[in-house]
Amino acid sequence: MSSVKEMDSGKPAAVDTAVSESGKNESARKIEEFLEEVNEQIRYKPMRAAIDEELKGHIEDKTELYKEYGLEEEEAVARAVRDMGDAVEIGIQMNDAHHTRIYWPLMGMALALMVLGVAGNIRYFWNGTLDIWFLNDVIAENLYFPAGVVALLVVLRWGYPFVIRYVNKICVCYLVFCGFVFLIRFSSGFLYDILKGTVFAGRLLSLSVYFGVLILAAPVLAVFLYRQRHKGVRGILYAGLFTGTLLLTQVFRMYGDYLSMAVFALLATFFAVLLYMAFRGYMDMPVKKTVGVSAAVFLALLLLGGIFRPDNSAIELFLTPERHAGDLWEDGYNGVLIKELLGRAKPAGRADISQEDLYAYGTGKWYFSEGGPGRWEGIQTLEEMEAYLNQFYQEDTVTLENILPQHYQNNYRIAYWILKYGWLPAILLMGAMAVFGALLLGVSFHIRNRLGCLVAFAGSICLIIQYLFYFLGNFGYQFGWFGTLPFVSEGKTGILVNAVLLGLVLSAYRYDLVMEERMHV
Amino acid sequence: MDKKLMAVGTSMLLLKLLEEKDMYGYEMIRELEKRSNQVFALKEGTLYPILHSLEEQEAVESYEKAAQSGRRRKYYHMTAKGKKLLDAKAQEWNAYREAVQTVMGGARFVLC
Repeated sequence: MSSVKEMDSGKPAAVDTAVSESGKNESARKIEEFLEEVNEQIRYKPMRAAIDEELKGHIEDKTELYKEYGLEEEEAVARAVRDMGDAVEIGIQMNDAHHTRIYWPLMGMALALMVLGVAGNIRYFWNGTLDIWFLNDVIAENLYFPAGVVALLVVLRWGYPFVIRYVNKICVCYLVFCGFVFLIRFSSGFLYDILKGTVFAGRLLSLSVYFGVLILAAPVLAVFLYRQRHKGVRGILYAGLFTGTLLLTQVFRMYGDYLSMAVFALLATFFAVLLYMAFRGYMDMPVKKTVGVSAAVFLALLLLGGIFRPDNSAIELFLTPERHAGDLWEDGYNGVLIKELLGRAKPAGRADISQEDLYAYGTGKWYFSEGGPGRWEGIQTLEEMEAYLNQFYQEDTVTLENILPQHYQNNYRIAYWILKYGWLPAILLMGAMAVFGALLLGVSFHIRNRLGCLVAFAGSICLIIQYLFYFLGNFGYQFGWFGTLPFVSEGKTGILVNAVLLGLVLSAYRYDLVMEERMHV
Repeated sequence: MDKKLMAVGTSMLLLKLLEEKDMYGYEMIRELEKRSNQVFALKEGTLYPILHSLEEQEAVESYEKAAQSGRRRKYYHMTAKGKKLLDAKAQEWNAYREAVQTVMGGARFVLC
């Protein structure tokens, strides 16, 4: 073996292997100084430890080599550090490779969609005068949009590191919360009645909060699944058990079938994340086996969640809305009416519907009168209903807005655009939302970090599913409880939940270049 | 040589090494020196920003593994994207080399 002096001057070196304690300290100090100088250039501090370790490992390897050539510890370290080059330059270049970032196209589109939503609300409440009533309604209904922006920014900044750091605690909180809600509702007398009366618990037990809880479980589930990837079938079963526990309230239909869409979104995430992990080779078992076991657990969970229950009203309403169209207030009638109205929409411009027809649609005469396709099952007679509606409009004063389903500005925003502005403008807006969905998936798959990619993927799936079901509902195929059109339609929990989902997608992207795999496991 | 050009050239060489097997940084430096008869003796620390940039570009992936000595090392693995990048860089390099050869060959002809 050649010695270091041979490398430098071609002459053999004198070897002294005795290393003093002070020499060791001096060597350690030299390495620390070098690493410190590198670190000073790296802005994202949590990244420093991983870089330190890699550079330190290199210096130690090189030191060993010099020692093999016969140098003493102190000299060997000094040379190894010198060979590394300029610490500041290395630090600057490392910082360039590891910086937090924001995906502006997605952020910009979300904000643009929110502006569209707020504009729609302002139009809805506009009564021709800028009075206190108008301002009151506009502020009350739009309050959650700025709150959503704040939630988005907070989650963007801290969300992803928080989720991966505290995922076990979050899972425990999920189980405790869902168990609590299940027990309270299961007791369905004493405890439920007491708590229902209180503002806090009443809200906590509400449909919309549980909807949010289920949807937000999806990114948490993605982290859970990733951490089970080395456990084979057992890991998938654990994840299935965790998910099944969240669905306990569904097993007993404590929220009816209203949450079917949220259940579907959660379970679709479960399956999609497992498929993705299988095909990317993250799982410690063959792809076919992973797909088979995942599909079996997915189907079992769908059964557990009541999606395939023969009398699931969400499925019935989705497939055969006319069976649930007994009066003007039923969701089934909304679907039937919307389908009928969309048939009269024009490619561009307001649907051409006469006053007479508008009145017939509004009062349900077109559907429920003798010879019509529907059968009236309301408590009042059709005539009594007409008399009631006459308080609000007559045949000569009725407008499109009068006859649309209640809360159309939330639940039928797309259908309203089609009827008011025509198919083309509405398709353009739906196209913009499709681009938003494509950007969500695009940014998710662009994240190089495996876990970051999965968290973003899970969030994206939940947002895209909400868009899809909202679109379907607006074409007369409503599935379960009406969710929101993410970032556009008015809502409270809906706006916040979707802001958190998008925040997590953007947060995973933000930290992609500064978080190492080891920080995730 | 211009630093940027050197970084581009070095990243091509690193990808070439990783095409054969997964390696850690120090191993790559040693291999580069050995294969180039000490011509490519870089300032060793500059290797890591290049590797991390390649990772940012998804041309390589990294994972940790304990070596025989027990020390944990960060290994780099070339991805399919990295293979494409290597092919593109190799093509660029060949075009550059041919151009240089043409010019130098022409100059020698004149001198002779």
